[in-house]
Amino acid sequence: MLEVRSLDAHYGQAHILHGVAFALAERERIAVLGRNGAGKSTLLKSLMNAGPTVRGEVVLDGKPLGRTSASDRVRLGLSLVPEDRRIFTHITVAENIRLAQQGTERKAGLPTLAEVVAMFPMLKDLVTRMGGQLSGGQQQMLAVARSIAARPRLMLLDEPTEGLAPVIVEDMAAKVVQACEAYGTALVLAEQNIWFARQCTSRVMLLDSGSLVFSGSWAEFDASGALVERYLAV
Amino acid sequence: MSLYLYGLYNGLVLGLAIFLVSSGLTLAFGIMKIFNFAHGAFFMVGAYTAYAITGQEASSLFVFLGAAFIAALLIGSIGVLADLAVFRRLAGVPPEYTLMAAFGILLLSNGVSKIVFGQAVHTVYPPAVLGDFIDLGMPVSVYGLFIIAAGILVFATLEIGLNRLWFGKLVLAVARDPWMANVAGLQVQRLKLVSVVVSFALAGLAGGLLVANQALSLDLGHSYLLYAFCAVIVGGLGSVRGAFFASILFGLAESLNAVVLPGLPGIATYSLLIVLVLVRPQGLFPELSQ
Repeated sequence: MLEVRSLDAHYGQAHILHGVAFALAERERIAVLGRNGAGKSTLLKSLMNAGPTVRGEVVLDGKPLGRTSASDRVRLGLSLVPEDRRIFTHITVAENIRLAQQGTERKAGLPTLAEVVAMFPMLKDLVTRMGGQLSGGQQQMLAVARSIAARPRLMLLDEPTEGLAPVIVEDMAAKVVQACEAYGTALVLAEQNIWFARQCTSRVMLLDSGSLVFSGSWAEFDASGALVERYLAV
Repeated sequence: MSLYLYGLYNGLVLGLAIFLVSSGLTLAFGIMKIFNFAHGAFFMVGAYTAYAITGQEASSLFVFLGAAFIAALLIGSIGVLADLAVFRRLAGVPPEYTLMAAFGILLLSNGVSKIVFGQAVHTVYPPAVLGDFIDLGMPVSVYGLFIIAAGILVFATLEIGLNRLWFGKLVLAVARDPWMANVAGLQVQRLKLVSVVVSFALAGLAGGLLVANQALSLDLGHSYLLYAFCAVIVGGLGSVRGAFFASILFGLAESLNAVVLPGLPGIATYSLLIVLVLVRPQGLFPELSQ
């Protein structure tokens, strides 16, 4: 479904990603691991065309996306959940979900609010609460729910566990897997929490200083024990 | 006593008149994140447009209001041009560039107005129905009451439009976080364009409504723009509610200043500005200023 070829990304003069290449099948879920500053967030934003200057090719269903804007990529089925959540604080939880669904410009096939809330029960009693009145964990759950409500073909999920309590992290992992399976959504997950990444995905890539240094199954990742030591240990 | 009451009434009229100008200014800041220096010029062009339609005195209230709406439509259309030709192209560059561009538009508008309207000063009267005075214990001008009503109506429309209607909530989403609005799939440029048109149209409408009882000249914009800028800053950049209350505060300060300290014109206005900026630098309603 998605093919990334020799992707370079810059922020001004700073060269962040160097020739990143990988492919993702329909419904496949892959984790991107790496230290802070390795380029994980930049990779997700580059796939969405939402910030960095990008060279190289991002190909969706055989068609290069080129300069397609982020909002048009939403309509092609991509959805980015940014690291800092970016919940709209002036509207309610239900309206945040409605806004994301409006962004897809699709009329049919989207889950109803009740279905979204059934999938993310933490939001059940919060639908009329303003986005700005939610806790960090609730905001993160809403950020994922908002993305899933748009029923994307590919969700780009950026460090959803950052700053969350362990019990919420467990719940989040279950919800992400459940939602992706229910809607046939593929996933690129940028994470530092290896446990969470393992729960959510079947394959893993390792980024170091903007270059891919490993790509394989979790079994292969575990077999190369030195990887964690070399690229992930603080 | 009646002098103070009269001062209060005049202050309210002036305050709501300031709001008619500052509403569009604060909206432009909220959505585009720029101080539109050209706002005063478009206010002035709106006033000339209305004058061109009505002549020295509108034959009826209908014609007076119609001329103000046509002025709003014309200036709103100029807003489309300004957005497509200038503001949209400057998205993403440092704000100083946009400020300079707005200043350029101001100079251009002033120059074109000089050629089109000439340099003569015109006197414009309100239509007869607004020209009267009624006795509310003191003689009160109907035109003043009309300005108060128009200001409150514009405020209520913007408040309801932005905070209650779904479209307004989308516009505020773009104003607060354009990056996320784009990533969520919203048509950010289209929503910004609508906001720019509304902002410009408000300048035109204000020109059309406030043209009466003024000396209509190329300097018309200056008289209100300074107050309007003060109100936008004190109200909280980008906040319509803030601009509303701050405009009334400045109107009252200016008017009561004339009653209490007639020898020191403007002292209350500038003191109020300094005190409020020192005490509440984020503004009275800072919701949109981040």
